[in-house]
Amino acid sequence: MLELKFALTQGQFLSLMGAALAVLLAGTGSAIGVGIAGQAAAGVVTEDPAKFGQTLLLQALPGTQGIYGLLTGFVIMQKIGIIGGNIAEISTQSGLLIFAAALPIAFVGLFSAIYQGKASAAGMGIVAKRPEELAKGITYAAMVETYAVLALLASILMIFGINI
Amino acid sequence: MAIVDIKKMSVIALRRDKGKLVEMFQRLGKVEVIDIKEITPVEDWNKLFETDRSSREVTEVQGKLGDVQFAMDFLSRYVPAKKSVFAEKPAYDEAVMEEMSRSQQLWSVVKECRDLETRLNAIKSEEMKQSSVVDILRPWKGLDVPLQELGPTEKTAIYPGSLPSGSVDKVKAQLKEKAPESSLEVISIDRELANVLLVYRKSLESEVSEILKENSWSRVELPPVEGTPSEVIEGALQKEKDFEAERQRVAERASELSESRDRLEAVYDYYNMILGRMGVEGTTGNTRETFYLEGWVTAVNAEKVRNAVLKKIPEAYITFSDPKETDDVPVVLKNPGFVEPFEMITDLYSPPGKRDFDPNVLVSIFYFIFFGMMISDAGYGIVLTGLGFWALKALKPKGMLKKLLGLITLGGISTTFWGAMFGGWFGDLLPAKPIWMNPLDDPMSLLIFSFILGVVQIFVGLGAAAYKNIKAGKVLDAVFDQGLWAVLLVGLIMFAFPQLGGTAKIISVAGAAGLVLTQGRSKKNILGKLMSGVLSLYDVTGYLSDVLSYSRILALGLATGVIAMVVNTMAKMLGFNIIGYLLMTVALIIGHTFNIAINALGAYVHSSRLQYVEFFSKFYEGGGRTFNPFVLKTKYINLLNEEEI
Repeated sequence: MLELKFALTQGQFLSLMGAALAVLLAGTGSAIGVGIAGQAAAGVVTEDPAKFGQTLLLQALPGTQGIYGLLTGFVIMQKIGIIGGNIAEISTQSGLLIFAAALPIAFVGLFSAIYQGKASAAGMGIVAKRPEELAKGITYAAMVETYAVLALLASILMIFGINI
Repeated sequence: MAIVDIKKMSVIALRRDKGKLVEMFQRLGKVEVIDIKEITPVEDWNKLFETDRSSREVTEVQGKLGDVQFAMDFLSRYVPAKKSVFAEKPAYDEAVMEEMSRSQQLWSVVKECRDLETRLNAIKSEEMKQSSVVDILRPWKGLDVPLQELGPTEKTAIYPGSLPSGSVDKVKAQLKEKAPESSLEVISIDRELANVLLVYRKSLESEVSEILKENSWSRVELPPVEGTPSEVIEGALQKEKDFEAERQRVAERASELSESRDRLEAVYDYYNMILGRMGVEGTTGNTRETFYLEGWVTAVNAEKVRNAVLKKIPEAYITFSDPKETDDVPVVLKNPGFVEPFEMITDLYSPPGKRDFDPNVLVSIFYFIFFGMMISDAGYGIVLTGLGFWALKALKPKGMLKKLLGLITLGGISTTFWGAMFGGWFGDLLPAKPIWMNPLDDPMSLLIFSFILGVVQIFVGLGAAAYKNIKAGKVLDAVFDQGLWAVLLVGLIMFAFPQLGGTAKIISVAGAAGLVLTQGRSKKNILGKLMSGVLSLYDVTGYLSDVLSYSRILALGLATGVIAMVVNTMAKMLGFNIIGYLLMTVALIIGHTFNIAINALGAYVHSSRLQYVEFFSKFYEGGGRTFNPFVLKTKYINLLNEEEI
């Protein structure tokens, strides 16, 4: 029991937990968002298969949060040396800092991807009825992504700022 | 460099010349025709013009077009059109196309396609009927009585039916007991149902039916076909083979017929061309002998159009006038080659409206910089430029596609520049020293640089709004609404430099005071004026969030770099022997292609957003309508002897 408690407060574990959360939550959000958009896209394409390209573009938009999460996870992994193969000694303090730094992209990524998926799905209606206005549908979806970009920026700046 | 002047063209000519005139306009492709009926009040229309001829002709051509299109679709199901996008379209003279459209042989091809389609449909429905018969008869395969003989005789009743498998024995026993002159033969049985043939003496009807009712018997209606079930199923299999052969024959015939595809395509374009003309002919106002046509022409082309019309129809009357305030004037933009691709960005938002000037020069500069910084990888930039340039050369695109490819090419150049500045060559694949700095080492500096770019664009936006106000004669508006804001913003920015603190305070307060005093000037009473003035200061948060929004430039740039690093790191793990190196190369290509695609899309979307939300909101209204000239639209062919002016 004591051993488990010790392991849980290890800096390395806490950092990895942060990396895992970033990839996991942002990725889950993207999966849900892309799924929602994909359902709407399939509906549009049953009517007009020629719109595959346009709908795919809209469907891809909520996918970026997953990439941002992976990216944050990667930066953390590199920071603690897990990618090079030799993990650095990390104090519990630093581990907690890194864990906290991962939270913005993890949670904002999760929720923004889902809502971006919904905005994209609504944009499919634009593609169905007025395909020439696709850019407007894309812009509406991109408005949601702004917050994921800001969260990514916050996470990355925090991670860069932590000295271990 | 700006919005081009547009003239309204009015033409009056004899009705017999209308076809000639419209045909010429179509070939010129420089005139946007106005539908006169739409802009004329009904009572005026009835006073001035005769009602047009019936639309019978149009319907007829539409019908023929539909026939030709059907034949083309039908044939392409069997022989897909494999024409490379790079192939030159065949060119025809209009007279030749007209002759083709009347050729007996072409219409016999169309008819044969219809016949083949009918035959296929017949086969399909026959097949469906047959397969439903087979489905019903399959459990009855064991029945060796021809189905046509399966009917009641004078004294006996014969019925096929089904019983729950479990109750077969029970029913048999009950029948034996209560109606001995009957038989129940099990034809097939599975876990749930038994298919049985029941024979009994008619006089025992009531006893038998009571037993049946108790045991959930249900009668089965066997299809009215001849022969035993197994014979019927056998026959169906045989027929299926015939159908298949028939289909094969249809396919062969279709591939023979598709030799006529070229001619079908030419005729398809011909009818579309004719339909286009008929549409325009319908927009004129007609009297008994003359017609009146209106259209938009750019001022540059006006003289050329006049000459072309008078050359073709010397007795026509043609005049050009400036558009009125109430007219729905289309927008034509003329920009230098560098700016032209960026028109796409503005057009997708909304073309310039009546009070706007053409923002594309400004948009092009900022978009160019932002797009490059958001990808910021020299390797990717070279790939994008190469692809864009190659596609421009090879495809010779027109319109939107040409602009998009131009955008990719130019964006690639900017990407290469910023990639070299930041030392990104396919991520960290090629070790090159950054000319300026590596954003991963010092993200704060680049963040501040992004904010500076944002501040610059916002100030340019304010300047553009001031310019618009001054041009409209509202100098005071420019001073109050844009000038004072500029003062306040400059003051606030100066706070960032501690040594300027004192001056910053003075300037900010001056700006803020000015805004409080002027922003409520449209309100009636003094309290309202003051309230609106104070509330307007709240907009400062808007400017703050606008500037912060430019942090996405840094974020997306970092994202590209780090994803490229991920790709490289993972690929390098594979490279420990020959096969590993091969796999590594494949992984690198796939990974970087993915990264380019996703980040080019991201850079496009987010650079656009910065223009739309942060920049355009300062000065641009939009709401214009793009010039849509009456042109020859052909899909498969080029027309010979296109008019030159």
